[in-house]
Amino acid sequence: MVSPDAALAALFVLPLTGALAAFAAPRAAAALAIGVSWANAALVGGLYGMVGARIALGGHAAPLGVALRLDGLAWPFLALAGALFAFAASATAGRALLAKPGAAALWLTLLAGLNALFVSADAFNLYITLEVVSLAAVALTALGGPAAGAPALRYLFVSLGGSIFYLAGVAFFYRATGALDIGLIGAAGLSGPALAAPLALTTLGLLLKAGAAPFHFWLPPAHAAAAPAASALLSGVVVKAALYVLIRLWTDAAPPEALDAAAPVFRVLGLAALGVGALGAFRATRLKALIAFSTVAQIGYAPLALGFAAGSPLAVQALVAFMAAHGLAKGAIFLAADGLRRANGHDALDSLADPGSRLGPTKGAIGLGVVALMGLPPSGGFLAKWTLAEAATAQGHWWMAPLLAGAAVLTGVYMLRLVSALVRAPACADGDAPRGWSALALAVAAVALGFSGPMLSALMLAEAAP
Amino acid sequence: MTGSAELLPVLIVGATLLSAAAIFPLRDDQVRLRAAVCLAGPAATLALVGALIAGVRSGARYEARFPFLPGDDLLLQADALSVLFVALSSALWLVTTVYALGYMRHGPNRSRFFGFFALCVSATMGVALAGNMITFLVFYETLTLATYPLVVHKGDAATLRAGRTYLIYTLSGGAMVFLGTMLLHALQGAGGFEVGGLLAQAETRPSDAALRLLFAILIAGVGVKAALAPLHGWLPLAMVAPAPVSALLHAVAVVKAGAFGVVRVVYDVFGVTLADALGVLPWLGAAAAITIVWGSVLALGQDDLKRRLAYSTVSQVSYIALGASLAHPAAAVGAILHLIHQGIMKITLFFCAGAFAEVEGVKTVSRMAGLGRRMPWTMAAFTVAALGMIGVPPTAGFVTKWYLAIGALEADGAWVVAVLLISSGLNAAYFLPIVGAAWFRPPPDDMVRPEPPPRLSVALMAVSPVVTALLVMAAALLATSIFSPLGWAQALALREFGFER
Amino acid sequence: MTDALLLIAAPVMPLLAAALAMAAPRRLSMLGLAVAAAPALVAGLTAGGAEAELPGFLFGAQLRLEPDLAPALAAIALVWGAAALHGRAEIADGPDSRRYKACFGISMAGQFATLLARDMASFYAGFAALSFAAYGLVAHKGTVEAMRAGRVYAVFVVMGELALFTAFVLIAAAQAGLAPPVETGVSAPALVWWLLLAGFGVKAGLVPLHVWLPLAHPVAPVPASAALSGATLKAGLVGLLVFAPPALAAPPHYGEALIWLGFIGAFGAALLGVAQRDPKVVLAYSSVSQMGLALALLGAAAHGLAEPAPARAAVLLFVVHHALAKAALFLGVSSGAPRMVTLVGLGVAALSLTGAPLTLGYAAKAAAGAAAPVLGPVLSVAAFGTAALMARALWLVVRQAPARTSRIKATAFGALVLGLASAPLMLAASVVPSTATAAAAALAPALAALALGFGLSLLRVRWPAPPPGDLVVLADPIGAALERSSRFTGSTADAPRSAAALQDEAPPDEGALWRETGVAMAVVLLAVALAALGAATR
Repeated sequence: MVSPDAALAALFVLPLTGALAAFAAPRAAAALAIGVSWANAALVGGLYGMVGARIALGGHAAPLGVALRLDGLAWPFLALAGALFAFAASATAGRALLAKPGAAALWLTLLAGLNALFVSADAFNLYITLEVVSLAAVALTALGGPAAGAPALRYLFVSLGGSIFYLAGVAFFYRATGALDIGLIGAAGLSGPALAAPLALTTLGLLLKAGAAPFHFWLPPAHAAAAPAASALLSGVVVKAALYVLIRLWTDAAPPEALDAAAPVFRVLGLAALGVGALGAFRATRLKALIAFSTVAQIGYAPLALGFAAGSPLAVQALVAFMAAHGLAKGAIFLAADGLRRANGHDALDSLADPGSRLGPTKGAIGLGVVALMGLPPSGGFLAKWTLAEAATAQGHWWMAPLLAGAAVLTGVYMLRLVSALVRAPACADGDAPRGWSALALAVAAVALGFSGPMLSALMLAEAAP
Repeated sequence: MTGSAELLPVLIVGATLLSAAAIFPLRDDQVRLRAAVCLAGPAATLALVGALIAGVRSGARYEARFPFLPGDDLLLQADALSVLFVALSSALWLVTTVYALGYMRHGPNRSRFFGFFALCVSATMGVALAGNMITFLVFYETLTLATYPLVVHKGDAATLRAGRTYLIYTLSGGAMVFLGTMLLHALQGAGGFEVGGLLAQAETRPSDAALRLLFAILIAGVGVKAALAPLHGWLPLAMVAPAPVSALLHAVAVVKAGAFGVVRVVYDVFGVTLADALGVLPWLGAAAAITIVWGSVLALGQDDLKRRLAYSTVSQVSYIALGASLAHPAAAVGAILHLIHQGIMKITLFFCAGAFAEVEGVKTVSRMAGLGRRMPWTMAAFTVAALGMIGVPPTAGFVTKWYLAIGALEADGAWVVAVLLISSGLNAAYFLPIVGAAWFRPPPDDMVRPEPPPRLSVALMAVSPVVTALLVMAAALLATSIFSPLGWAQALALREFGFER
Repeated sequence: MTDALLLIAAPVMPLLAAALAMAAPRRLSMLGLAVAAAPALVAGLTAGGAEAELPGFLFGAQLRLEPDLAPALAAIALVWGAAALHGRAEIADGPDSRRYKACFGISMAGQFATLLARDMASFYAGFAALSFAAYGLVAHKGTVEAMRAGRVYAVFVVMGELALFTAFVLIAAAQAGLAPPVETGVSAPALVWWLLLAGFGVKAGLVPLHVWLPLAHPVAPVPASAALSGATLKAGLVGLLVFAPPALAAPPHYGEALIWLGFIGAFGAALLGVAQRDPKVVLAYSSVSQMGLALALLGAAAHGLAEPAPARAAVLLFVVHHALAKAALFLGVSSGAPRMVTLVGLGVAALSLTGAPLTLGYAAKAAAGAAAPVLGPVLSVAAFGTAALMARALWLVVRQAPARTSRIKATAFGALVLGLASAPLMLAASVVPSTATAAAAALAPALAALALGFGLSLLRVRWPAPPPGDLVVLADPIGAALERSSRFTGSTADAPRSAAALQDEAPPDEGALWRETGVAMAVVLLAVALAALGAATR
């Protein structure tokens, strides 16, 4: 039996070692990245049995030491990252990206950063890992080619700005409580401006990094310009990292009253994101722009769900389901869109045509991915929507039910522009386009997630236990 | 009951899913293999359905649960109503597959076509076997998605536009069902469909206003697929689909799933007694009546045969809602029977329409003159089904109309008889001229016949409508025999109205 | 047991024959249709009072041959059989003939079912089969005229079916069962009576629902016309007799209305018919006229002017008589027999219709007069109209170019004439006037018509012919407007097969023809007169 210490440490030791090795041996880098991604996925799978573990690295306990914890909130994100990295690396688009010099090291660094972020238990470690993730992500974006330079730069500036706000907030927390551990900050029982100011600062920084409306301006260009496999990761899991920290802060560091007070703001932010994303998606003319704007809209579900999470584990569960479903689905769609684009030889949205029956898996991935994004049953998106609607209506917010139902239709209508490409005649078969099995696997996972309701409930219970 | 018997509903849905999964990976040129797989699916399903019918007849109760949402399970169960619909779906799936094998003899994406075809049936089976609202919703939405690729199969711009409208309508309907399911969940918690009404058995009854709202939302949701006016706009557009799809859409899958939903909501969610007490049934009846007349009037002016048939469906399917709204056992029998009868009649008409277009290149009513001589068997099937739509005995349509009218009179709804009469008159006005011209007029002089399809195709396209036309006759001629759906419908209606538990 | 099988075979055999007709060679299959009438004929002759049950069929079908309906069944079966036989020679081979045979067989089956059914569902099924399949007989030729007649017919049929459906549903809802009202004794609401009158009135040619009839009969092939006029019209009468029986109390004004409409039909049709130039149109108007009389008799019974039982018996006797006589007249239009034989046969049928002594018509008229004494004078007057119509029809038949002789056609024609002549013996109906005055009165119409016709032909009077279908011309502008404004009537490309109208043919030597007819009629009349006088004075 592997000890929890070793297993949790392996989460970032393994990819980091891999990154170093990739740096050292550029020829084997791509294969290495694929192998490590899969090993990581297997590791995360094995960690399911250890949910609830909390370790102090090097024997130093909080407040001074570096504490790691693997709770019911962290594991789904780890699993999301594990799955996305593994499948994206194996996909043709992923192998193409990893073949570029330096890409494999960045890839594994990003994975290490994300893993470390998800298991970090204190605010400063979260900052460090967030920085690692951001820098690696910016670098991966920049690998997208000459056109990706400007968006990547903008991404960098936004990300750094967000970090500054976040760091300032953490400093305020430390000054007020003398602790960095999220649980200890929460236990300190702050109130008034001493609580409001750091919370506002960290939230602002995280929303910037997550690209949540109204700070979404940088996201579509960056995600559209990056290489397909990078886009899958960026949309699928990198933005989720900032949102994950946001959830952590508001559920663990802040008392429910604070969240309750801030709830209207979060709801408005969430609705704004849904609206802005949809609008952008309707106006998009390029394939990847549509998908990127859909990310902007889908990210809106996070603040929206947070708006109902005060004292409601159900809403947190919904949030997790949203993140996981969107991550898997969006990863699948970005990877599959690459096949669609290559088969067509262009990515002008409204003249894309059926990529032919050889690309059946690609088509299936897009179809299932869209189902999950729309939140149609029995997909993960449906699970999220249903849970959120239940949480909201239990709090008397009946308007949420029609809103969520309507959002599905709205999503369906703008994603239809992508879906109709799958059936538009005449077919344009291209023998070289990847078939898209990896994308299909991710999309199937996004749909199968719909049946994970009991598992998610169990995880959330594990989190609630001391 | 043994474990395997409990699983029978799961096996039925599973068999259809499995055949879809087996068809998708086939290459388009694997014609024979695909034909074999396509036929094996319905055949196996039909055998399973046979076992299910035998079991339900002997009083067995089938139930399979899977944990799904917090507090809500996926529940597949077979009650008498589901069995009726499942039997219809599986039987017509087989016939339609035979037809489609003849019809879809060229063009790309045939594996995709047949795969989604099976998936569509799969969803229909799920709708039929759903034991609670959540499960119903899951399959109801799946049905929407599975039919979209079928509707837009041709893939040209006009088809995609029609498909877009179709999807917007049906997704909105699905959203309403989602909302209704949510509300039901909030009012009643997790509960399955119950004979006599899930809500009627609640210990604490929610406020009337909430119940009325719930009824409106749910009916609006299922009403989209059932093409209840004013939610019927998608149906005439959806006829851009290939003929076998239109046939399945109008007879079994989409439209019928909506109508089945209406029956479920009225009988098994609310229960007739509660719905009657709430005063919502007259509204449903009025909507159905308006749809019936309006659909027929619109059908009159259509020259495109499939469009005319589509408007006819709009009209005919609302008979089911009309019967369900009457709160009378005989009308309930009529409503439940029409689930079956409209299916076999309309599928016949669409089979014929497709065959006319493929074999003779005739797509419009004004060019149908003389078809009777060139395609006598197909035209005979068309004639039988058209007479059935009018309600001429001895056809299935007569039996339905008879029960609806008797129920209406006994429930003091004489106006319903007037609606039925107007509808029958209009049906006659838009079907009989077609039949007359096809049999008794010479073909147009400028007739251009397409290249004739292979003999096997023609034969397959002729056999299917003839078989279903015979079913249309048999449903009336053998109405009181043990093979007929009438007995099931009567038993169902009696149970629903509490005469027999 | 055998009787029960006969009852079931009566409607089933024609259906089987229709199915056979789709597949088998032509001659055999048309013969099959003729043979298919045999079970009904045998049942009518031997199986009065028999019952059969078909549980599981429709809503549980029950068949019963009422003893007093048996002769009507036999006569109608004979008509269908003869028409089928005639059709074997008349209907040209080809794909159209299959269609004709299918429609013919289904109509026949439907009619037999209406006579035997004892539950409303089976009756309605039979009635609908008869009504809708008969469209194929009307529109068979596919000419402009035939299609127009078919359209008018279809409109009336649909209206009639809807009225009947409503009536039946109302009856079933009121009495919770499917048996005809006369057996349950439940008198239905007034609305039901009117609906039944409308529904059956269409079929029976009740004014003003008769307009399809003069249009349909002439355009249909000769054997089809014989079946339509001889047999199908009776479905309406029998329907009224069964579902709106004289034995039950009718709603107010029902009887009066029926009497008046019957009278208008009886006299109006005679006036309009006599001016027609196509023998089949004349015969069709004669049917309207005759049915008017029968309907008036039913009205009298409903109004309390006649006892129910004798009225029913009289109507049924009338059914037998008119079926045989009118079918014989129609087949006589193209009899296939040598000219003189044809004329004698036609003469017998025509005299029978005028109610001359020693004919079945005399018995029918006497029974009607006895049942409703009020109608006596009317019947006598109407007989003059009938006689005029008959004279006109016969004259027009003779004017035609003679049909090619055909043994088959002649057999069919002969069978009907023989049936008509021998029916009095089988029915034990009194055809002998009791007094010489009665005999003279019964002969008078025929003599008068003969004289009048002779006189008019000598004067060479030509009068304008009103359009066949009279009232329907009022609806023509509406129909035309509909056709222009919508596309739902289908192709209009049917001009190529338009038939040359009969009246446009150059008339043959009228004087010579009239002499021939006149001589034949005179011979027959003389024979009848002598025999009648002899019988009356014996």
